[in-house]
Parts: sequence; structure tokens; C-alpha cells
Amino acid sequence: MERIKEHLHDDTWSLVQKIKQGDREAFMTLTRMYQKKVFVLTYSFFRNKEDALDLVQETFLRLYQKINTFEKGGNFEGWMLQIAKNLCIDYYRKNYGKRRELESGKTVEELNIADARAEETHSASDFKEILTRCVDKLAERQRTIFIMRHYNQMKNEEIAQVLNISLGTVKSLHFKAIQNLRALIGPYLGCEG
Amino acid sequence: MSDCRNIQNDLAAYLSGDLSGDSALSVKEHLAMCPKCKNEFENIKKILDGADSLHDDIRKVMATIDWDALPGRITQAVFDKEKAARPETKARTFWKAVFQPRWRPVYAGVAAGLVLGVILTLVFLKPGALRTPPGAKYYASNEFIDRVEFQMAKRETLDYLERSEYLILDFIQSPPGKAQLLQKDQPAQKAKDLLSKKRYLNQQLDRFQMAKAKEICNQIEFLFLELSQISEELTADEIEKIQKLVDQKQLLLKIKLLKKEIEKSEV
Repeated sequence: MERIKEHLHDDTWSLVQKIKQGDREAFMTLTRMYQKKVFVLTYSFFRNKEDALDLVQETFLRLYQKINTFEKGGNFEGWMLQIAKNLCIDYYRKNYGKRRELESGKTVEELNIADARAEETHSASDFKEILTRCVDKLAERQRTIFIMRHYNQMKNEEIAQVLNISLGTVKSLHFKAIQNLRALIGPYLGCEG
Repeated sequence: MSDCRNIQNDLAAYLSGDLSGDSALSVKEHLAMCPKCKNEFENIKKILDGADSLHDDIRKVMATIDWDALPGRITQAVFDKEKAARPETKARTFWKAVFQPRWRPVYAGVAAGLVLGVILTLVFLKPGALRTPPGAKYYASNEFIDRVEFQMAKRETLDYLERSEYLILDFIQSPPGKAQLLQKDQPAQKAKDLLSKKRYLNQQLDRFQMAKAKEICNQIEFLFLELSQISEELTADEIEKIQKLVDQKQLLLKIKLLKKEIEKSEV
């Protein structure tokens, strides 16, 4: 497994070197290798296919512009996801926020009360909708870590590297995110938060 | 009770697989005998399962995307944007090449030559452009300076004519004997003074094109040349000859007329 990783690392570095020389084919190959990873992250943030695809393109554009700053031995995937994450946060701040509530015309609290009254009729999709809306309500770092951990299925070590924080901070923020979600979703689960 | 609180704090980590072997075992044992914690465990599990199920949704969405075509589209868009930004980059590269350090002495020389050329052009093509004396606290235009110099030339000429008139009058109105007496100490010297003044005046008269004034002044000069050569041995005949010369040339009348004309600036 380690050998495969090393091989992949070498392949990526040789592509990066070619891209630094302006090699179009190398850039396309690199995009093909990492497009899905970036998409999973951007889609997790917005759950909107078009926005997510725009952000994927924006990530690779930014990556191309900054490729000369990437040096041999660096964690390419972490660097790339850091670019994607920063773009997502900027885009989220500019375009989302209140938007989700406006889309349905109901606040999360209203949804919870309504759902708690009709507990028996809840479907799995209702729960997912409430859960995603509650994730939106989390503080920025908690939300980012929760998304990376559960939507992107990244390991804590990878998250720590991408966000440039300690492993302990990742665990602590992940724990707080779950506690807050538990409190927000409590009424739906038929118990106190 | 505090045991339950500790266990509930560990539930998320337990479900995420972040607990070590011993801690995970103690949580497992507690859940087997505590229904309240077991219920909390189920609630958190539902949240995490729900979150993980969102990953399945992502997979469904991903199945609708043409991943083979996407890299081509992205590459095209990225390189198009870069191409659009390239003219600026090219321009920057050009200026960088132009202003290479090794060319700087050449540019400095060219710049210095240009500055020198401009200064020399100003000096030679526009006389008086830099006439303002260093340290002067005021500035006067060339026209103003010319006007002042013309007025001064007029005054000098008038002064010369006046002094000449008095000298001539003194000489011709004196009786022959007295004239000879006077000549010993005054007329010759005065004539010499006026001759030297005339030399200075010539430049002014030429410069301001006072032709008429110059002609009369020349006649006076001729007279003074005679006077300046007067000596003690001058005879009464010679003095009479000079007086006749003044009369013939109507010098006194001409001087008077010229003075009036100069005062009216018609010269």
C-alpha cells in the first residue's frame, strides 16, 4: 500500500513539473486523477451539482496559477483540497448562509417542530434534509470538519493536514459538531436536546 | 451518574472508531447494562449514519456526471483564461527585458543627453530664456527688460545732448579771449569726457535704431574732437573757425530739436 502511495506521489510530482512548464496534457491528466476528490468536497459544501462543478473548475484554475509554489515532497492532495476548501468557504459566505432557509421558507427550528409532531410519517429523506440543514447551522470549522469526515470520508490525520491544525483539534471540533447536531436534531429524535 | 456522563461524552468517538481498545471496551460494557446511555448511543448513531448516507447521495449525483469529458472542459477553460491574461504577462516580460540592469548605463546616457539637449535648445533658440540672474528674487520678462533699457538709452542720449549743448554754448558765447581762458581748465577735458561717453552711447543708438540721433551725435562728436585738441596755443582765428562750424551746422538748433523728439519718443 505504501509503495502504491509512493508511486502515485512520484507520478503526481512528474506531472506537476510538466505543468510548471505549461504542459496542457499533463494538466488534463492531473485533473482526471483528482477531479472526483475535489467534487466530493465541493458538493458536500453546497449539495448543488452546478455550484460544485463550478468550484471544481475554479479549484483547478487556482491550482494552475499557484503550481509554481508547490515544491517536491509536499502533500499534493492536501494542498489541492486546501485550495478547494478555501474557495468553498468564500463561495459559501458570499452565496449561501440565509439562502437555504429562504429556499423552503422555513427555519430549521420550524422544521424540527413540524417533524416532531408527525414523527411516524418521517421518511429517511426528511431526516437527511433536516440533518443537512443542521450541518449548515454549525460553526464554520465544525461544519468543515464534519463534512470532510462524513461526506468526504477523510481520516482525522488527513483533515488535520488539509486544515493545517493538530489532530487533537480535529477530534475536539468533530466532537463539538456532533454534540451540537445532537442538540439541534433532538426534537426530531423524540427526546430532549 | 457521572459514569453515564463520561460514557455519553465518549459515544461520538466510540462510534467514529477513535477510542483506544480499553476505552472502547468500557463503553461497550456500560451500554450493555444502561438503557439510558444505550438510547443516547442510538440517537448519535442515527445522526452519524444519516451523515454517512449523504455520502451515498453524493455517489448518486456523481454517477450523472461525465467524468471523461470534464477534464477536457476544465483544461480548456483554465488555459483560455490564462491565455486571456497572457498579453499582460507578455508586456511585463518585454519591459523586464528592456530594463535589464546591463542596459541601464545606456539609458542613463541617453536620458542625460536628452536633458542636455533640451537645456541647450532653450538657451540658443530662445535668447534670454535663462537670463534671470542667479539669486534674483523677482522675475522680469524680456520685453520689460528691453523697454527699461530703451528708456535708459534715451535718458543717456538726452543727458549727452544736454551736456554737449551747455559746453557748446559756453564756448561760442564767450569772447575770443575769454574762451581761450576757459579752455585751459575746462572745455578740452569736458569734450574728452563727452567723447568717451559717446563711445558707450554708440552701442545704444545702434541697438535701438535711433538713426537720426546718431547722425547728430556724430556731428557733435566731430566738434568735440576739435575741441579736445584745443591747446593753449590756440589762436583767436582757430576759435572763430570752430564757432563758425557750430553755426554752419546749426548744431544748437539740431540738438534742441533732437531733444524734443527724443522726449516724445519719435526717434
